[in-house]
Amino acid sequence: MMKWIHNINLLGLGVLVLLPMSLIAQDVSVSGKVTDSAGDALPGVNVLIDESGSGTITNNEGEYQLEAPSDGTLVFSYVGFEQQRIAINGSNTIDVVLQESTAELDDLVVMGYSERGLREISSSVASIDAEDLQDVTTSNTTSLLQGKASGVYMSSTSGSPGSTPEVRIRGAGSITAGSDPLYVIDGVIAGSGGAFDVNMLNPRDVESVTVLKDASATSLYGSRASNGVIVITTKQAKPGTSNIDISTTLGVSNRSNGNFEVMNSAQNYEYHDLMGDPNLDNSWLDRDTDWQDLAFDQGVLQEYQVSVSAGNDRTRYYISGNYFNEEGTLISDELERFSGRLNLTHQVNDRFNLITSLSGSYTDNVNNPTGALYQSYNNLPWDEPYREDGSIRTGNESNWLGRDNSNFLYPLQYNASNSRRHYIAGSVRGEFNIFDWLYVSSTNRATINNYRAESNADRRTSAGSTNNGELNNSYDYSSSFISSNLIHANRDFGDHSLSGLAGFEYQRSYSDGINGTGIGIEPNLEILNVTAEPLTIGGYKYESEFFSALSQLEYNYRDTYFGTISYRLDGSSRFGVDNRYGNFYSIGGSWLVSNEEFINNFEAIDLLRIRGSYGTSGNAGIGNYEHFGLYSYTVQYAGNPGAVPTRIANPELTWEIAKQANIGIDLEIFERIEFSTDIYQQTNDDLLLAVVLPATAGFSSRTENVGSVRNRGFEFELTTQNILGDFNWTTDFNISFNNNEVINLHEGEDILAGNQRIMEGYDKNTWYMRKWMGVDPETGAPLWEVLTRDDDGDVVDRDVTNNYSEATQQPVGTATPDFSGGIRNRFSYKGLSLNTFFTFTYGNDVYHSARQLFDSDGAYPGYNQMVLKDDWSRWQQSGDDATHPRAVYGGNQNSNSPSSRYLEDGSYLRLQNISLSYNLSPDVLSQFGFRTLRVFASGDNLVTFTGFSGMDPEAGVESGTAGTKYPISRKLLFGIEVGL
Amino acid sequence: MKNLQKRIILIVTGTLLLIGCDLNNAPYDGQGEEAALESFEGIQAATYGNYHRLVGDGYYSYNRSLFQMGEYPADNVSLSGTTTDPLFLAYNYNHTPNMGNASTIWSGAYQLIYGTNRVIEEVETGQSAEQDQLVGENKLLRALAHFHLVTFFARPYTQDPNGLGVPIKTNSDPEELLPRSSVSEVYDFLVNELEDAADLMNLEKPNSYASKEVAYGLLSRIHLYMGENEEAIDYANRVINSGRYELFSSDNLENYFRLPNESNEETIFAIRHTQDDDKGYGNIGSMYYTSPSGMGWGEMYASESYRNLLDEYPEDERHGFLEPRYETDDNGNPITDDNGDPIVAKRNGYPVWYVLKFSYQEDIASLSSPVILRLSEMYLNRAEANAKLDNDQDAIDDVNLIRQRAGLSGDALYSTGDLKGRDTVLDVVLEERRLELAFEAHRKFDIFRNDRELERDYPGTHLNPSNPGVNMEEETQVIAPDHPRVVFFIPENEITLNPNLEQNP
Repeated sequence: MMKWIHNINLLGLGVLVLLPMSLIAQDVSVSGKVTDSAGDALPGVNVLIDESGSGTITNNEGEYQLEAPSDGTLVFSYVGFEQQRIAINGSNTIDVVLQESTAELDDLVVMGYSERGLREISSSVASIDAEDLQDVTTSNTTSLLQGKASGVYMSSTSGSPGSTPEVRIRGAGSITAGSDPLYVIDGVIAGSGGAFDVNMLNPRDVESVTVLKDASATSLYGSRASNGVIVITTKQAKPGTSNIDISTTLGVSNRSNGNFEVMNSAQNYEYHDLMGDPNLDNSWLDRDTDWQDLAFDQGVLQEYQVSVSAGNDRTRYYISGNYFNEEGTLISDELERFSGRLNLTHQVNDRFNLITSLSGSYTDNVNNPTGALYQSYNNLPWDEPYREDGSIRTGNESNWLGRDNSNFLYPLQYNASNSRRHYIAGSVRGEFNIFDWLYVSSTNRATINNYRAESNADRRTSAGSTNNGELNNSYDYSSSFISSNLIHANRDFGDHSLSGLAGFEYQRSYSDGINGTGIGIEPNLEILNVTAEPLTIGGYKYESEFFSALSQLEYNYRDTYFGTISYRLDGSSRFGVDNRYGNFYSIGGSWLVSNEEFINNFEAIDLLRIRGSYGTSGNAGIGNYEHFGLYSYTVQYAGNPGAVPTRIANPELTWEIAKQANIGIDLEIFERIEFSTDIYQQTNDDLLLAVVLPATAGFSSRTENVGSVRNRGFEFELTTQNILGDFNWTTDFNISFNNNEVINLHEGEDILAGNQRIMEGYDKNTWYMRKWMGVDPETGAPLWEVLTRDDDGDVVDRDVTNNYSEATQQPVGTATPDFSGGIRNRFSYKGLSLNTFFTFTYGNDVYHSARQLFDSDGAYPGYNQMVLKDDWSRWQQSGDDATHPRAVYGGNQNSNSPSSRYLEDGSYLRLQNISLSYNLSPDVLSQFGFRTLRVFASGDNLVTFTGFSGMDPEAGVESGTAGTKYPISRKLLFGIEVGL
Repeated sequence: MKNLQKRIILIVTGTLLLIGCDLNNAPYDGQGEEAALESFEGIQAATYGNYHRLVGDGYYSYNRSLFQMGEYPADNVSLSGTTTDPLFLAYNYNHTPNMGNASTIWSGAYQLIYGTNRVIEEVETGQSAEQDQLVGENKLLRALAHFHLVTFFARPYTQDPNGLGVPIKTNSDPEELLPRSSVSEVYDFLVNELEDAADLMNLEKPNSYASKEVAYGLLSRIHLYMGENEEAIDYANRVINSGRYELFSSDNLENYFRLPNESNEETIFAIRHTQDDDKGYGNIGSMYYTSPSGMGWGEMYASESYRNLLDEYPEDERHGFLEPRYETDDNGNPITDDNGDPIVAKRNGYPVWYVLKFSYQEDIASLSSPVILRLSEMYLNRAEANAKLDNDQDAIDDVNLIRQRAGLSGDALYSTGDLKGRDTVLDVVLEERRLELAFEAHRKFDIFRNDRELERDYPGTHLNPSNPGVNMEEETQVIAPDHPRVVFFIPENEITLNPNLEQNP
């Protein structure tokens, strides 16, 4: 029980001053000095009188003084050190040496509104610290989470630098409304989905990430918390330190081709020969262009970070500057970013604390302005990109063979598409102590986001030819303001401890923008002022507001029995006048069994806790004005302003509500094995659903509160210290199983979602297509299944057909994985450490839609085709038992129309990161004036094991569709980190 | 301490009350559905909005589907390759129940109908000529949308008036799940509606908008489609005799479609496109033409059979609507054959014959305002009706009028005694309709409503063994007038959403 943290700083970044109060007679004055094992003074250590909970903190010299009952006990606690309890026994001087604790950091969990010792937690959370987070090198904080926390599933839809993967916590319970988690940064709501771009946060500034999963943890965020909450804490200096950290990372990235290969000239020739292409000409064989090689190139990645952190007992700061530059593997695709942060806290006086933060970033994006990605898959090897004299062909030559008549290299010479973004966030938090057990806080954050994009279509290119050159500029501005004002209380009554908070929050988001296109522009000019005339002009404004009142009460008895209840009232301008406010509550409890006397009989058990919670949270992830019946004036006819009805009013529209129950067990045994498991069920009711209307209604859909979706799951986390000593080996493993089921829908009606269909009793992301039944061995024709149903809808007969229209659409799989997770192994010997991290996903079906083009049995002779996988075969003659139909010039009976033919197993196991690093020993370093020095070599996404036929099995969480994807890149990186 | 506590509680509750607001935010891009229609200006804007529905939004816009699905299933065009675009299925008759272009028409038409219903419900007639005009325009647009639906999704009236038509939607109730009315019910509705509209519209509106003559023009076509020939003639006459329109001049004929609506004396009604409506590769003209600098897909060409028909008279000015692409070397210079003649370029082996009826409005390659009604059609409606009433001379006269305008004269003209090998006067008229109105979404309907076979005995990607009616040995595709795919499937989503809808066989 030595690691037990009693009552860590209640809030945010940390130091809560609890004033000494003369409550009890016979107090004595106690003073002393707190040092670490090396004898250095520790400022900022919490010194608490155990009985009253009041106390003080040590000053810059590590000294403290307080009045305490002579028979009392002092508790010394400090982040990163073992807690100590010392009985006063009437003495006036107590000096303390605190022992450093390596495990302690992991045990402190930032819950957003509060910070909790791991053992106080009644809810289901996953916490990841900086070291584990920052193994991969990316500009995107979200990407860092992949595979590292149970219950969190991610899938990227693009390998372009800066692209954000889709994130789902415990599955998606919403259908129309957003399923993105809510982000909380340094204790305040930042936003979710489109409202907040996590790209703006420099991953290197992140100290820890906590994922809040169950209702007891999330319900304080009532509004918008139904998709889970990701709490990000940025770095802060420790008192008494003065550190400079410098790091450099350099590397290269290459596209990961996976199992995919396009045909070369000879292969494609054979294929055309097979389909009987009447135009086939063997002179084409003289040419063999590899369009993939032309479209992709090795990218260079570089990152530099400098940070300074320093502080004393009153003032602490963390300042960082970062430069990040990543070239995509696609040509002409680059992200460059400068970012900086200042986190400053200051204790103004005994009662007042000020905690401020200012961060900003400048991002510059160069985007490929051409169809390079698409063409890299589809252009024919028989078309050459260059003329004999080396100049670039347009693709519009009369002898160009490819169907799209396009050579992306040509417009790439003249066209550009660039964007840049400025982002600034500033926050001020004040904490004012009224009593030693009561304080108020006010946290206020404002953000400003400016985005500018410009693109041109040069008049020499086909896109720009029509209007003699085009130039488009757009400006987007958005701002947000949030104010969170709370009263916090914390008081012990003997064995009983009570704490709570109450207050209100207000949030306003605003955005506006304009865009314009000018036409008639000379090459190489790039401002609208030089265009001859305007073509289009557009603009918009949006705003939304939230208002919330919240409260939470926590109780514990002897640090063994814990209970939490919370209540929150939320109002949003997004809902109808009649129904703006929603109520959310939760109740949770935990029993720290290992604190009971009887458990002492079981020496092996270091920690055993049982947790349970139930509660509700909400989702407002819809457009800003969905309740508002609208005539939109965004159209014109013959130059006259026109109005079209675009939305039917729904004054009753209100919150989507998620009800979640969670039971969990945490166990630590033999001081080596930590184990945690959770079972949960979340049911989203009153779904915000775009109810599809028949066309005769005049609108495609109306947003209503109908339907419910249930997610049930099981999560398992295990950390083992396999070998301890000079050679160390630890393993972290997590796995999550989630089962999704649509419980009910608007009048039981299915919702059509492209190749998926949302149906009662099925997984939300169920593929609903014609079922592929292979190839007719006699004719090589495609076959699909036809179902005959009786009047009750039961299938009475199954047959096959080669007529696509006759085939029956039916459920053929889901885009939802059975399970996903990650496993990390860390080996270290003295200063050397090797870290491997695998992520895995199993059991999801990916629709490989691009095969409709490049695996199409002759339907697109003007497109290059993929090389058939080893276990695939093409029908060639009667009797062939083949996977692929006969190739027919112009197509074989719609064989390439959407069907389960292109549905593939998306399971994969990926070595997401492997890194080898060496920490020079402090003894050596100190001679050169260094604090730390680490060098490392690291590889991201080096190996992926999958049966998927495309470049990359990740295809987005819900769409599950792989088109002509921008594949993720394999990165090789080298870095050095120096601490001064 | 007590005071401080009180103060803080006061401040907190005070702020709560201040901010505890109604959270009322209204969108910036429009007005509430009630407020929008309160004024005459609002009604006017809503009417412009309804016209905008004919233009449509995005790449797969309403007017694009309208002109592709109306024209591609006929014999004037030849597709030179395969494509992911569902226009492919409209062209080759391999329809599927989930074709995007059919959904565009079905949903787009009912969206337009909803918009018109809102105006018609909201505005009382008889208050002012201006308001009546707007109600009339909305009624006309409502009829036009129903007409599009009934021609695409129901079999021709002349084949079976009692067959399945389309739902007639005349209110703004979103909950109603309408069944399909019969074809004759829909046509009766159209006739009543357009007669009403004609009575209401008494202002002379330019040809980008509906007017009395537009109503008469549509009535002429609709009666013709119903086989009511006297009425077809009557309404054609009303347009012709209105004096508002005259045939475009012969010597400038190739520029007909390059003029904006208001400068064109022949056009009765066209869907006005401004530069703001230029959808680049999504324009109708894009499939028909690639500009020298590469704008446009240029994949759908004038068919060999159409070109052969046109080539019977090389002096026919209507050659101006076609343009071959010639082979060029890498420097853009034409390649010539042994005789020094330029060689027509081929795409996938098919000669590239561009169609120019949807390009170069105001000199912009990708811009055009597709024509819905023009005076030539009125003469040809009258001709067809007269031919069916055995008024051969009247029919021949109108055909010759159109031929003369095309620059033909003398031997190139017909007489009742010289049908130049055509079997009947009706054949002459239908052939002239084909020549004159080619690519303007008439041909398909002209063939099938007259119970004729579509024969595509020319090269193109329709000649694929998996397409209906294809005979690879004879290199032809024949679609009989009773073929089920003469009409499109109703989008299968709609069948799911509305159990009262019956799918086409």
